[in-house]
Amino acid sequence: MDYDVLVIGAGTAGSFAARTAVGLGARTAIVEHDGFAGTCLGTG
Amino acid sequence: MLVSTVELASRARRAGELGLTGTEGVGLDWAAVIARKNRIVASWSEGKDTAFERQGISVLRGRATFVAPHELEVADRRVTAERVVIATGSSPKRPPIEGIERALTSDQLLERTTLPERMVVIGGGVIAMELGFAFGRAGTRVTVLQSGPAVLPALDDDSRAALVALAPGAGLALRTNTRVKRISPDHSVEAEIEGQLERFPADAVLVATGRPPNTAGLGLEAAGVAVERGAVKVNEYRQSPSAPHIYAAGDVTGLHQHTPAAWYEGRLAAENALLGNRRAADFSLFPTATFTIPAIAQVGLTEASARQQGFTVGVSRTPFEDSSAAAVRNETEGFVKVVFDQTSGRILGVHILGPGAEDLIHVAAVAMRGSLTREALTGMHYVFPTLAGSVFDAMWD
Repeated sequence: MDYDVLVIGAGTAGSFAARTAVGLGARTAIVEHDGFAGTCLGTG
Repeated sequence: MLVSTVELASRARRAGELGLTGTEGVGLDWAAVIARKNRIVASWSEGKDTAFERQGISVLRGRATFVAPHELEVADRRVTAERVVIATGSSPKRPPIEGIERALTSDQLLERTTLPERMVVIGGGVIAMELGFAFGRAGTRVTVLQSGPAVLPALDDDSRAALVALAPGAGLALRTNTRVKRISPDHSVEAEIEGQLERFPADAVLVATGRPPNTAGLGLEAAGVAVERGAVKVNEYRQSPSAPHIYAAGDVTGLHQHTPAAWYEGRLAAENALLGNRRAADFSLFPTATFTIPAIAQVGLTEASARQQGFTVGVSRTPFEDSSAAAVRNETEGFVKVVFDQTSGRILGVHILGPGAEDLIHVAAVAMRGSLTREALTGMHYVFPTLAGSVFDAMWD
């Protein structure tokens, strides 16, 4: 397997999931297609 | 962000009452307001990908689609993973109404650099009411068309009634039990209300009828992930019951569409995925705020739901009119309301409408977290004059 954890989406939930996973020592990837913020933070 | 700018402008316009001069000409340069919003929002996402890489997280650009339970396609590339966390969020929906393509979603409305003179809002939930109040206070004449019998159905009845009473002064007309029929090329909106067809002229139409989860195109069926009412189905560990190596967090679960819920669930899902299901999601004490002007905040049960659950309900409250701090600021609208269990003295819920509600609610949330009774709180000292003092005053009968 390429990764221990693959996170789909780099909004608020995805960013926290990825940081938590890498903090636990997991080989982690995050997939994002459109910007890097959640809805609330990303649109104002 | 827009809300705090508009709030500042409306306070400034009323500052003549405090003896400030030159406040008559206070205006809003909407293009500048939007440009500042765009700059700040961009700064929040800028450099995020390099930050991920620095932290040791690989960034894959593209859309991810499951081709097998452990295998995904991302921009023509195949990747495999032991565990997957789905956090694809939600997007505004357009209900099937004739001419709905003429309406703006909240994202689109917040890109416009001019304030519409008249705006119709389709919907009566959090986004509809927050933007309705922001634009209304900014000078737009707003009509809110809610399909259900009440706006903001999750609020305590007293909070809602107070907000509804404030709406006309904020430039909002609220209509409930409406069925929107059509949006015309001139942006006027036709709606059926109590059997009568009414026409609402408008320069802009906002559609704010909810944000369904983004699950399309993920190939969830290839991974065996069950979907329920458009959302990724999860258990209390935020794990897919049908595909146990897959977890989901945030808006895509359709459960708690709030930013703090997203970061809480994101952490929880990653921990449970890697360490086994150690922590169940706990939303028993979840403070929320609606950023109308003024704001409304609540934690715990509404009075109606406390009665439904069979508690011997007591209610105590303090209006901000009785607060020296509120009087000093010339912001005396609103109240703090406490719902408690008469038998045990336990606080069941607290509801605040008024200045600083979104911050004050945490005083109540901490007290409830620590299971403090009303009696314990009435005996507490607090700084005078402060808005937070009203939270303690409200504990008294």
